[in-house]
Amino acid sequence: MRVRAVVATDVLVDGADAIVMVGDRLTLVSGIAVELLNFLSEWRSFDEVVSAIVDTFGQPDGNADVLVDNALIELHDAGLIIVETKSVRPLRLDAYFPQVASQL
Amino acid sequence: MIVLQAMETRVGLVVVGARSSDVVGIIEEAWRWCLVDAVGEAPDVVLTVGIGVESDFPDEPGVVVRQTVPDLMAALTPRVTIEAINAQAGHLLMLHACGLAHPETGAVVALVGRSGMGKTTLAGVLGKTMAYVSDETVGIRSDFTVAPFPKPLSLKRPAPDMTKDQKSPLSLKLQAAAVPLWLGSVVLLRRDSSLSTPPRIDTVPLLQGVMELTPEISHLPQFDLPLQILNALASRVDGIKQLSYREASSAAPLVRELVGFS
Repeated sequence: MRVRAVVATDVLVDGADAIVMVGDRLTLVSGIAVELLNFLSEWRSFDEVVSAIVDTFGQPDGNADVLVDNALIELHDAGLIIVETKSVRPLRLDAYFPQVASQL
Repeated sequence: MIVLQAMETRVGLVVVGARSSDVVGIIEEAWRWCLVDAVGEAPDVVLTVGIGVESDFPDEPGVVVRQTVPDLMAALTPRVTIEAINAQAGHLLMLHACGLAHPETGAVVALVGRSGMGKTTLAGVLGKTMAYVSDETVGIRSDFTVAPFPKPLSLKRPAPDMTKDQKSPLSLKLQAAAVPLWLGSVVLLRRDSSLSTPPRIDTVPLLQGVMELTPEISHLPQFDLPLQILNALASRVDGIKQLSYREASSAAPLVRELVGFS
């Protein structure tokens, strides 16, 4: 599985928060999601994303993968990232993420 | 032909049908502050307007025909506004706002809000001491000067009548802008009929202000890097403000203060 941010029309950052504009749609993102979008300017594997977040924020209660998992789901729901999987079968979004990542 | 200057757009009106000379006079009276010389530069848009029935003008674009003068005037105002807005897409930053200016400095306060937030009421109250810029759309150029649109004020009739009367700013004794206009302040309107505290103006955080402002901006995606434009706008006006109020009359002094009235 790999992920990448969609190409934004414009981004406005203020402190730890940002507005991302894609087409005519605005999304307010904050905290880890802002860092993720920065990091996802090119295709990244899930492990690369987790590593980058640990490098930036440290290991939050040992749950970086869960944190990243949730943030990616939110970003995907908001249409801000593209998720690509090698699997040929259609997958539900939750199947992309670590709980079953080893099966992909 | 009647020619109206609506922000940066010249809208030509060709009046046809019954009582056309009366209709010309009524339109010219209501739109007096937008009238420009019909001789010279061609209009950007031409509309055919008049008293009659629409079926008399099959397949003609740009026709605004109604059976009565009040209905015609009520239909004409939004049509001119829409034509003006569409013609300036990607050129003017157009806020869904009432605009009022300091009559000497030209500093404009744009009071932004969706329908029902009190834009026209505030224009009617404040326009007697401030210069009336618009009750509907404030057009901002890239250098933050303002293109006026002193259209007739659209006043709601008592419910259940949904028609809006189109009142000339002159008939409401409003002041015309006589100096160049520039953007001085941007204020999000929050009218709350249950508000029990005095009206107040607060500066809102940048991203909150941008999120709340964008639904009230026409054709924003037509610009390159639209969020950077809004960031520059917010910086220019020292932050996007919010006015929480119940009655226009009590909010008026706060609005005047924003553009330097003591």
